[in-house]
Amino acid sequence: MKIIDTVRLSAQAISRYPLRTFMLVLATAIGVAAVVLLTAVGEGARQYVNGQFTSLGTHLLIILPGKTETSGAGVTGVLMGETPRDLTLQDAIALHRSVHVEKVAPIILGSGTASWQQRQREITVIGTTAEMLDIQFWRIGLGQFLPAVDMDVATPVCVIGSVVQEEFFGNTNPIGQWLRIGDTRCRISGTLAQAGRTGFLDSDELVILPVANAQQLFDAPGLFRILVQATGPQAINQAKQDIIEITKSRHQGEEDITVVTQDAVLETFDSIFQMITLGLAGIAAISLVVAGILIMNVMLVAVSQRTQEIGVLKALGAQKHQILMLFLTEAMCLTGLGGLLGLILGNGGAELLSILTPELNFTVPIWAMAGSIGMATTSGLAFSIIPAWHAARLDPVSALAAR
Amino acid sequence: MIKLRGICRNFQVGDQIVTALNHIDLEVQRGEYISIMGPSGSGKSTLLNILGLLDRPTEGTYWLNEKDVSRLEERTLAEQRQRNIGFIFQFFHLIPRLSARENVELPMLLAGKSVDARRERSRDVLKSMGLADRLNHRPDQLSGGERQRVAIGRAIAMEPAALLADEPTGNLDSKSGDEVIQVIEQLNQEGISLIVVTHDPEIGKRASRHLTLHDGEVRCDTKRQL
Repeated sequence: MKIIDTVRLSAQAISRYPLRTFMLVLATAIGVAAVVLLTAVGEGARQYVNGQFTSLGTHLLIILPGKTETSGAGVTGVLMGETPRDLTLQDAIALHRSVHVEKVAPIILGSGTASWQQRQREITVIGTTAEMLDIQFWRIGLGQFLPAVDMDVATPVCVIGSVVQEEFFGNTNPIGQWLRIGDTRCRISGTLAQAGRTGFLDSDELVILPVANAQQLFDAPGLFRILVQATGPQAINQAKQDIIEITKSRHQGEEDITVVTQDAVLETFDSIFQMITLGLAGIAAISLVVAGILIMNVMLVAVSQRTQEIGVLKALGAQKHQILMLFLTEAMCLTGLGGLLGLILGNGGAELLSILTPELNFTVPIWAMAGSIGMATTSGLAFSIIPAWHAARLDPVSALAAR
Repeated sequence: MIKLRGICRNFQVGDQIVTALNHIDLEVQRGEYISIMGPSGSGKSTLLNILGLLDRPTEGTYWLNEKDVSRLEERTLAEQRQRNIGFIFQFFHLIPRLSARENVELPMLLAGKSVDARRERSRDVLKSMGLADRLNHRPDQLSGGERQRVAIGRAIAMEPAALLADEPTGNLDSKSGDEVIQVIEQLNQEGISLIVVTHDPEIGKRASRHLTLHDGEVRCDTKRQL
């Protein structure tokens, strides 16, 4: 028997029972659509997070004080009550010695009370340098950013985020106004354009001071972080080594900083989201197994409905394997149809979600489509083997006599 | 062509063993026309099933074209059945969702014949059955007599040596029944061996040789020539 004939006979059997076919196709389609859609959601979230990290700067390194490691010399230090050595402004200045480092922005983070005329509120204050603007891809709204002077020069100026500007000044032009922060006063040199949260800072809610002023304000010499932009994506690893070497030489040969490259962070988040996506797909795949059991049930009914027909086929000289193939093909056609419908539904759903939430883009990965179709047909095949085998083994005489 | 020696067929019914056929000896020549008669439960159908290779004897030997087929495995049995035997049944047993033509093509399809060969043969066969204008009708669009003629067409599509009919007119009115009998007798005259199981003595009488079964044994066997 030729394959095309087998398929044609199966197709004729399928079209003979439209309701049964519809229900089986629907069951499979729901399973496939669930896998496709949930994977798309997971992928969409992963891409969103990736995009957020990329907006931090493509070749960014973050330097944290202290060495994070799971084993080694840290234990005694902790027992002795030592805290990691501070990162200082001088450490940051020294980083410019590396040829692979393009921009350096030390960060001091704190909060303080800001006031202007009668208005007053708690705000997040960040002390940094002019280079921060490029590293963070911030955009200037009015005026200008911090002056490009040496890091250790304190100048009484500040830049405010759009929300701060809105709440203190409303429609008044804030440029040149004196804002009081804690015990100091500084003149507003510019505002940031509204950007929303990028990375770990919400620039709209910030007041930005020169780093030396922030040190005086908080009376703390230690830096919270140093952000470094390497000269290019290829320079990231050399920049990292240089940073470690330079800091080591300044810290009596002790490697007491942690350098986080964006790649590492990105990879971690990437793998977390991949696990979530796989988990979602796995849960959805259970519905495909349920569909498979339904297929088994329906095929068993089909075999007993068509017992006489199987007897006739045997009387006409049909071999066991031919009857087996007929029923398997029928199940495969049903699940195949269901899979196609499921792909259409799933992709349509993902498209709809993308339209409803413009900031997220839900695309269905190829592997999810192939995987769900493969899983659907495999489960259709696996669960119809028993009914098909049952049919193939029927005794022709009693099959013909069946009523 | 067919030779049976000491054929027995026992069925297990609960704890009891029922003997449906008891040491049957039979020889059938090519082109013979035989009717098998007897009361219900005499083993007519069982004998027909064994002759048609649908069933295997518990004991005894069956030679088909000088080949011992009584101990063949199922696979070879199906091949032999496909090549040598055509069946027609009381309830026609056409596949309801296939057209007359597709029903006739079914055995050729199972045998892996090409589409062209199938189409040509099915058209010729149905034409010779007087069904040239019914090629694309489904069974439920045909009368009983037409359905049985489609079934005959399907049985002879592979040009078998023997045509086995189990109560072929049992479900037809007498006019359609006569037509069906004429069709299969015509085929017999063209050389096919015809074995008909029937209750109806009128039909039984028409055969050139009568076999009467009783309690699984051959009670009477006339070798009468036309």
